[in-house]
Amino acid sequence: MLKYLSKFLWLGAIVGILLLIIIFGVASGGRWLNVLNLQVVTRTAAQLGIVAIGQTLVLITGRFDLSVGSIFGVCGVVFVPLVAAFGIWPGFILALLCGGAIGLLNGTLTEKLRVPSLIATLGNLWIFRGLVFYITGGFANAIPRDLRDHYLITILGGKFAGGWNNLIFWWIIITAVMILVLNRTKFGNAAFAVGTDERSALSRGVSPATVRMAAFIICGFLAAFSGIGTVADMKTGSTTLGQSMELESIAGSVIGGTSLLGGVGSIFGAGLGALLLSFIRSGLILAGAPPYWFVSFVGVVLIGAVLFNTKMREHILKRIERSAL
Amino acid sequence: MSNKGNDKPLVKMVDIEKRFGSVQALKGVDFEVYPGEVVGLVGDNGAGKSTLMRILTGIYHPSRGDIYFRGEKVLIDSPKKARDMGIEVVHQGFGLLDSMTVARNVFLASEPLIKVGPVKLLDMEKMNMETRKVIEHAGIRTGVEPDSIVQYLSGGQRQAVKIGRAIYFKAEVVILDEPTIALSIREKDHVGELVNDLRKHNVAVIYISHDLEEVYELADKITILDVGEKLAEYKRGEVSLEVLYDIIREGRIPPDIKQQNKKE
Repeated sequence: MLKYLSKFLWLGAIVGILLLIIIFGVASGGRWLNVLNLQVVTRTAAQLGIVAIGQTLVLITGRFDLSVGSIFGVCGVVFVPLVAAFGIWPGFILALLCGGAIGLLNGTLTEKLRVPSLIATLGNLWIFRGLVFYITGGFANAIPRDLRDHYLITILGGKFAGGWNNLIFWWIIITAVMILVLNRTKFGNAAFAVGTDERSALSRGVSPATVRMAAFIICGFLAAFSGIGTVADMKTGSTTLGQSMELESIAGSVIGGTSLLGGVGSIFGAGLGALLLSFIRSGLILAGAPPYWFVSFVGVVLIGAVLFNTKMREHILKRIERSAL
Repeated sequence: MSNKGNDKPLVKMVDIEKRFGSVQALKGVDFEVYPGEVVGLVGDNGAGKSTLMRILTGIYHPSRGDIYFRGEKVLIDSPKKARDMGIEVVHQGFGLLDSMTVARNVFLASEPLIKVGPVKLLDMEKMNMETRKVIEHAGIRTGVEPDSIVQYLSGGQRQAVKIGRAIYFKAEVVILDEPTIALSIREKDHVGELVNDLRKHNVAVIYISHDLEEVYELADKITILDVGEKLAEYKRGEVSLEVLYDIIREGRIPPDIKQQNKKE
């Protein structure tokens, strides 16, 4: 039974979400559970959720990507001048490619030049945040008015079925695809193998460098896509776009059962983690707390989730060892 | 020896020398193993056993000497090349991935695929079915299923899975590197049974162990290395276990044994 349950890494996140729904639902006297609020909550969750998918993939291979927030920001804000200069589709593709290129840079630094991923991606966090300031000149850049009704902008950041953001739809699609990729493809198997034990994976003919490089690139693409989608939704890109998303995406992954040590993780769990963080954000707003408290809360939840997951795993292992005696 | 009429060595290493800077780890070692033969490779720490096997598995390149596989000169320049040739290593410490299922471990990097539209997905049904065969063949009787997480397997079960995997993928040479460290007596016996099974499948086995008693019991031939040189090679029953201990301890062949061998 324990062995069976331990496969569902995201059980803790489900419990957390249910608890929050009850607490916020009751405390707000029903205000929190209305459709309008849930539309806002899921939109924020989708923005973070897509980034957390890439982060989870990188974490599974045993690396970190602290640059996702800046990739989200830089690709989002660069999307605006690019569409103005080259048109919607070329602008979109170029902005997306920027994300992939930063992912490639992260991968090259960590896998080819052996810079620890924490340092390499931290460096890129600052470098590309600086670039966000350079591109925007410190202000918010808006998509040209005549392009705002273009169908691609609507597909990326418009609304469906009475107010639900299209990014939610993309989030669900990407989640489904990545679950399939991780669980049912050779690449997925290799990603878990590399994160679990590099030497053993290598002995079976799996190249850790290639797998991790691919993970960084996919993560870059996803962060870029989410950033572009967010700008398409808001029609502007500001300097703070994607700020602190690196911490939030890691927290989302970990809440969903992903291990910071690599080899263990769940894309579905990361989605729940993103949803849970979005719930907390809206709960705090509803409670009248200033927005900056949210970052402190994310820190607390991150540490709490790591502690919870570690203790749970230790407990399960002990129980299993005892029952084997 | 049960080499089933195979009179040509499967692997022949000739005059292998390996230098690491000024250190000469191997000084012209000859080594050979036949199909269906179990060769015990023994010697004290620093004898050169691991270096010799790392050369055979493509991790190191020899400074001098040649390797022949089925009589043909080969260049084994990467671990992948060694695996493609059918040379598998079973280590005590690694080779299986703890957080993954037995089926995913068995088929890692060789997964069967099915085409679903434009994409190729893992054929989980086939993986599970074939893994069940590996588990059964490896003689694991209790509690292990294709979807069991490796973390929860005992040391003996892990070794059995690794050896079962080597048999399944039709390995021609299996190198067992200290396969019984930290195993219980019963589990050690099971590894012994699996080695005999490999022999029955006509697989060439190279058995590296510090446990001389174990090697003595299993091996058809024992090659003794000492400080990078081949000190001696004996077929089963040619010398006693005590003499083997003496040779390794002293780093030389006692005169009376030398005399005895000359008479033969």
